[in-house]
Parts: sequence; structure tokens; C-alpha cells
Amino acid sequence: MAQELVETLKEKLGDKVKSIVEHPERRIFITIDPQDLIESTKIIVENMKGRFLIISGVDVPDGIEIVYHYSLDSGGEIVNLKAKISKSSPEIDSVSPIIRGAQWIEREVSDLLGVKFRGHPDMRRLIVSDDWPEGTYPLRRDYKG
Amino acid sequence: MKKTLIPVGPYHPLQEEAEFFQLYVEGETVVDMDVRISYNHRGIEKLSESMTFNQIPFLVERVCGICSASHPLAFIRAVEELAEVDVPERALYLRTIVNELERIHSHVLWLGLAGHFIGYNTVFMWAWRYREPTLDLLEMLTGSRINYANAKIGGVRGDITDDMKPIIIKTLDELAKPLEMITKAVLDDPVLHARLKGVGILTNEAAKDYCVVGPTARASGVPIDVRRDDPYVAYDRVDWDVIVEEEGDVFAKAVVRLKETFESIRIVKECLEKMPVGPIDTEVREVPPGENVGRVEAPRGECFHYVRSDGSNRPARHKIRAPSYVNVPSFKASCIGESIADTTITLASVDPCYSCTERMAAIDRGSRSRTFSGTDLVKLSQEKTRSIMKSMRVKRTLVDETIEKIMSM
Repeated sequence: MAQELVETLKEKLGDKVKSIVEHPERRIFITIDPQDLIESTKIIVENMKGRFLIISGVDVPDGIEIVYHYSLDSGGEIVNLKAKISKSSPEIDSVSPIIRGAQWIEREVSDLLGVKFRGHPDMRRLIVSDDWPEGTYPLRRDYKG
Repeated sequence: MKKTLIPVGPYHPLQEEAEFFQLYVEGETVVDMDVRISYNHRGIEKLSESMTFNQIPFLVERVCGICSASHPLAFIRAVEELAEVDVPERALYLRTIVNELERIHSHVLWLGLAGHFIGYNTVFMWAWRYREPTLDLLEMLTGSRINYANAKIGGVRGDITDDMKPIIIKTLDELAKPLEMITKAVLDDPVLHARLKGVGILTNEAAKDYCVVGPTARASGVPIDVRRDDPYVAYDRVDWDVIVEEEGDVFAKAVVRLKETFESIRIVKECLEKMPVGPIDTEVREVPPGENVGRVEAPRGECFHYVRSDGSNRPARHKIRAPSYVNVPSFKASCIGESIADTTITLASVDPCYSCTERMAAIDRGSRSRTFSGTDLVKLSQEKTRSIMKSMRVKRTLVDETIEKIMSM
């Protein structure tokens, strides 16, 4: 059990934590508000030496959930930071200025789910072709392939 | 008469020009790099949502032909932990053996490709020939050379019988001996040192910036390996070492892969010795609602899956991150400032999970009159080796001589 780690995360993230759960062992899921993303990311990356893994975008009934996955290599834990944005205005701050390795995946989530990442240095299409129609997001549930 | 315009994309088998990697050069030096991907996008994550948990390993083992054991295992790991499955001990060892045999044949394949790109064609011939027995072992154990379908949720499909054990050990020994000789030659070969040391350096800082994984990370002094950091299957039950080098150049990456191959041989032998008798699978009734992640150290690096379950027999979301997704972009950091003759081997050194190195073109920004196709770049790379040999007055390299000795043994 990574109980100590959970306590440390609660302490460092403070009231940005809407919920925090460790399940299964060594897999911690933290929910935050989208506006707290940049501060939370800095804490995990700079303060806790988290190694960025990838971002998962999930189309859910009441919005789009963006999950940021980090590895804490010294203990083998994975910290997953979740933020939900609305489908009508799917925008969130880009973490690419902090994490260079996040550039591609933010482009991918933009292509496949229609999320806008504010402040991304290079928002060209990555996955969908140049002639792919605007406003059509293949990973959304309402996409009819 | 009507004219028909037929677009010939980057995929046409006859087309030399590539549109995956665009290198911008001034004279002989790379000044910028851009890469376009997704020509082979297959919509696997979307497909996964329409398949059952049991079907998905068959789907994801086809994400990559040489990380074929890794993707299913990462997914299975996520699902088994969520479902709190008690996988039998023997199955853990069996999974470890298949995954390490995959690492062995993948690294030897890489060795051959790297040899080809720098004009060491004896290495290419030798490596691809000596890789065959490992593939034969995988076929003996699983029924397939690639896409083994050995692991399933709850265990594995096939067992090892006692008569297979000496065959596995003998085959690995027959690979280890010549590989030891070649490794020693690689470490001592002055032409290879001149050709690969200081080439395509990915600094420790850049490695962390780009969040690279696998041998690409370990060769730049980033000591991460999922097998040790977040153990799965039988890796924490056997004795082995994580290989780390500091220089971050192509030479360091070659050394990491060579040394890792020996560790893999070590792991397989220990697994054969230690694996207990017992069942090889257990029944799994259902996957409860929830979410989990699963990761595995594939030959190219950490392979990461995220699975969300809603309690039905299909995932609500399945995110797949192959190691090359983070490693390939780092080519930008390691190729800028390099000479065009070194671009092929620099890209090859991150071991992209697809012959991306054929998909390269270099455009001279200065004169705008010359472009180099992928084939041109390979030729330049091979020529550079020849000119090094000439300037060192070497007719045959130490590695070539060693391979000749091996072939005559």
C-alpha cells in the first residue's frame, strides 16, 4: 500500500484534490478541477519527480475526462491525474510548455476527441489526415464511422 | 481524352521519396527535423471498445510485430489487477520466458539492421540468421513465431514440457557464445568507435524532456526499467541486472541492447530452473467496474495501457501507448547538428517499432536544389564507414573478422 505517498500527495496538492483513491495497489487516481491543472502538474513533475507517461482522453456522458498518467519510478507507483471538461466547450491548458514529451499526445487528443489545449506550441494534426473533416472526432461516442 | 490524376502517396511501393521524416539540411548538417505519422493508423483503441476483454489480447498483439508479447501482457496486467485475479505461479514464469525470448530476437534483429545501415553487412547476415533459432523456440512454445497469443486473462495457454527445457537451453547457449565474441569485437573495434561514438547523442536532459523509455533512456543514463521498478510476472523472482550507459550516443545504445540480450538469456535459464509445477491458468468470471493501468518493459521500452471498465464484458476505454511514441520524437534532439550521413543510424538507434528509417527525406534548405531520399541517406551512412576504414587503413573490421571466425567454427 502506498499510504504514505497518498498522504504526501494530499499534503502537496492541498485543496486542489477533489478526490484521491489508491486502487489497485500503487495506482493512485486523483481528481482535480481543470483550472488547477498547471499547478498540480508542476507539483507532480517538479516537486515529486513524476515521469510523464501519456494522456488518455475519455468521452463520458457529462463531458470529456482528461487523464494524465505519471510514473514515480523509485517506488513503481503510477499517479493518474483526472480533470473533466465540458463537451460544449472542451478546453484545457496545455502541459506541453512544462513537459516537452506531452506535445504529440495533446495533438492526438485534439484530433480524436476535439479538445483544445490552450498554449500548445504546435497544434498541427497528428493522427487524422489533412483532408479529414473538421468537427469530426473519431473517439467520441457519437462518431459514426 | 480524359486525364486521370493518380496520387502516389508515401506508401507507394515504387516510390523512393518518403514523407515521414523531413530533415532540413544546410550543406552536410541537419538544422531541423519534422515528422509526420499516422499513415498506418488502424483505429485499434476504438476497435477495442467493441471487443470483449478476452478478445482484446488478440487485437493488441498486432499493434507491433516485435513487441507482440508486450502489448497483450500490459493490457492483461491492468485487467487482472482490477479483477483481483490470482495468476498461478507457473504461468508467471511461462509469461516471463516468452517475453524475454521476444526481447532476444528483437535486439538481435536490431543489431542486424544497425549493421546494415552502417555498411557492416556481415553483421546483418549473421544477426538475421542467428535470430532464427529463437523464433523457432517461440514457435515450439506457443505455436507462432510472431503474435504468440500465449498470455490470456488468468494465465497462459501453453505449457512447457520437460523435454523442451534442454532444447531451449541449448539454443540459447548456441546464440550466447557467438554473441559474446561479437560483443567483445564491438567493444574493441576502432572503426566502430570512430563511426558510432559521439554520434546521435541524446543527452540525459533531453532524454528526460522527451520522456523517453527503454534502451533509448538507459543509454542516456536514465535508469528506468519496468521489470525492476514495477515488477510483474516473475522478474522479481529471478536475478538479473538493469543495463545503463551514460554517453547517450549510438554506440551506447548498441552496448545496452547487446548486454541486455545476455541478461535476457540469464532470465530465461533461471525461469526454467525455478518454475514450480502447477496450473497455468485460473478462471476469471468478470471484470468489475473501475479503472487501472498496466505496463510492461517491451524491447523498445515501457509499453503502457489504461483500461476503464463499466462492469460489462467490454472496456469503456482502452488507451495504448507504445514505447516508440515517446522515443521517436526524441530524434529531433539527437539529429539536429548531426551530419546527414549519421541520420539513418541515429534514428535506427531509438529502434522505432516500424522501419521508419526508410521513410526519411532530407531537404537542403540552403540551395533547395538537392533532396536526399531514404535510400540516399543509407548509402551516405555506409560510405562514411568506408571512408573511416580508408583513413584508418583498415581493409576488414574487427567485427567482420570475428564474424568470419564464427561462421567457420
